[in-house]
Amino acid sequence: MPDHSAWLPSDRVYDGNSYLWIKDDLENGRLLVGIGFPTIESLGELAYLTLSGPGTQVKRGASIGSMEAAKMTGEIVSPVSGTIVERNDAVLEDPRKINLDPYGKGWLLAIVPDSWNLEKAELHDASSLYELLPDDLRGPQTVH
Amino acid sequence: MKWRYLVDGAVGHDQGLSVDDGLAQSATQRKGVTLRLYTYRPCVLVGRFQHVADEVNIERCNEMQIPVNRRPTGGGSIIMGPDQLGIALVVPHGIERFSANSSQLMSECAKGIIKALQNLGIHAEFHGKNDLVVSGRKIAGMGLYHASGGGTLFHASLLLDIDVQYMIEVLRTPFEKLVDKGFEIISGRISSVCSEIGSTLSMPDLVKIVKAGYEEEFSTVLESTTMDAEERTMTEQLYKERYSTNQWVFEETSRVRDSVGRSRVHTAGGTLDVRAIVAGQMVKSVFLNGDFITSDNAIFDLEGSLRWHVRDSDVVFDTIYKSFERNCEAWNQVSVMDITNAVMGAIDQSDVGSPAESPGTCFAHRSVEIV
Repeated sequence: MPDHSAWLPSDRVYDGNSYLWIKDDLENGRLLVGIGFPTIESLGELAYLTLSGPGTQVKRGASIGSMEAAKMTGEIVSPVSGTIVERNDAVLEDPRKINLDPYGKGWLLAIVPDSWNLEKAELHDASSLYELLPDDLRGPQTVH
Repeated sequence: MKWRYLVDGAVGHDQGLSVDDGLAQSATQRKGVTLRLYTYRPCVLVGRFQHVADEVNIERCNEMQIPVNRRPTGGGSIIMGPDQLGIALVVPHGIERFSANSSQLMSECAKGIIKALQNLGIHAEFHGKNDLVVSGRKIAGMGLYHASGGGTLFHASLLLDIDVQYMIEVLRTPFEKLVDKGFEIISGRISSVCSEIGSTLSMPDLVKIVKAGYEEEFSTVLESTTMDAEERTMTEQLYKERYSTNQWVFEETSRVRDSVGRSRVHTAGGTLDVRAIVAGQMVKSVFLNGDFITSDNAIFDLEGSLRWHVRDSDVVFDTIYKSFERNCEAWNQVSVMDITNAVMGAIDQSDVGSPAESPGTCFAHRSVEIV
């Protein structure tokens, strides 16, 4: 079995279209949202980034920011509905932090969800997302 | 499967961009792929995250009544008009052959243009981040935009012909004061369909050839259509809220601002004048000039290798070394360390450079030092 835990950590869930990750931080009443390795593989190096600010109400599927990377520009689409309560300004100053540490210091936004129990059902765990990915976005294969 | 086909002529800058974005926002698998071929009335379009004041000679544009707008796609500033063909390919998520999240999507979308040019006897190839080049000279600029509605928009500007003098006037380049030299330098970096085939070709004929190129490359039939109600509504909304507004065109787009660094290194083979355009931790472009002797291919390879490159010195050195190895016979008495010192000098100098200095255009980045 390929071990893809470094490529898609199993401690979070993923949006099946954008491949954005969502990590449960509900102890603090919020979710963390970020860009994972499959998206980075698709985008290349990031140079420019905008993100909506704290207080913004967002809907799942609506834009929460935009970016320009080596291979494309695009809108960043929210994987959950809720209210943005924190923005990682460090990645606005240096978007390459996302390339370097996407699952850690490269997080984007903290969102207090409106309907997490409903929307969570539409998201994927690491294994099921892996099955959805095109071959060229599956990352290095490590076989156990 | 048939594709949808839209053709337009002499559209306004705001209308043209609204339609492309509207098609991308409304894309669905049921509608399939849409190809739109069109021309603009003369205008300047900057890239998604560029700063207009850095890129455009606004005063001259106002005098000439040339409007400015902002594309959803990235890259540099361009002029559009009757001799530049706008190509918009809208790909919904989940279409076979186009994996919307594939790392190879840009080159896949460009294949219809390459086929069309091939049918004209022009050998074009994908180069660097987003260029289509013929013998090292750019003939089309391209970009990809992933819309929140789910569709991906491939944008290209294919040069049927180009008025370099006009381009120098409306875009901010260092050549405003060095007209003759600037003309020469820009002309050496770009090409056009007319110059490649050595004769004139009408825009309607080019449109037919590009349409046929996509049909042939993708084994499809392009069926003329019009926008549906959903696309019209989305287009009108985007026109009203985005592309007709000063906020969209002139907004501060990103906290990361481009800056330009220069360095000059004297070597046994001559002087290297290097300009680096840097966005934060990314090197967007590096350009070499000077009185050293080498081949156009060696410079083309090196500049292309360093486009949209991380600025870490070890990685830059590695890239330069590989390019140097590919062309070592062409670098006459210029060493790999000479080039590395010059390039890293320019990159480092960008940290103290003025961010307002023009970072250059899509078709001709600034490559000489104004004295």
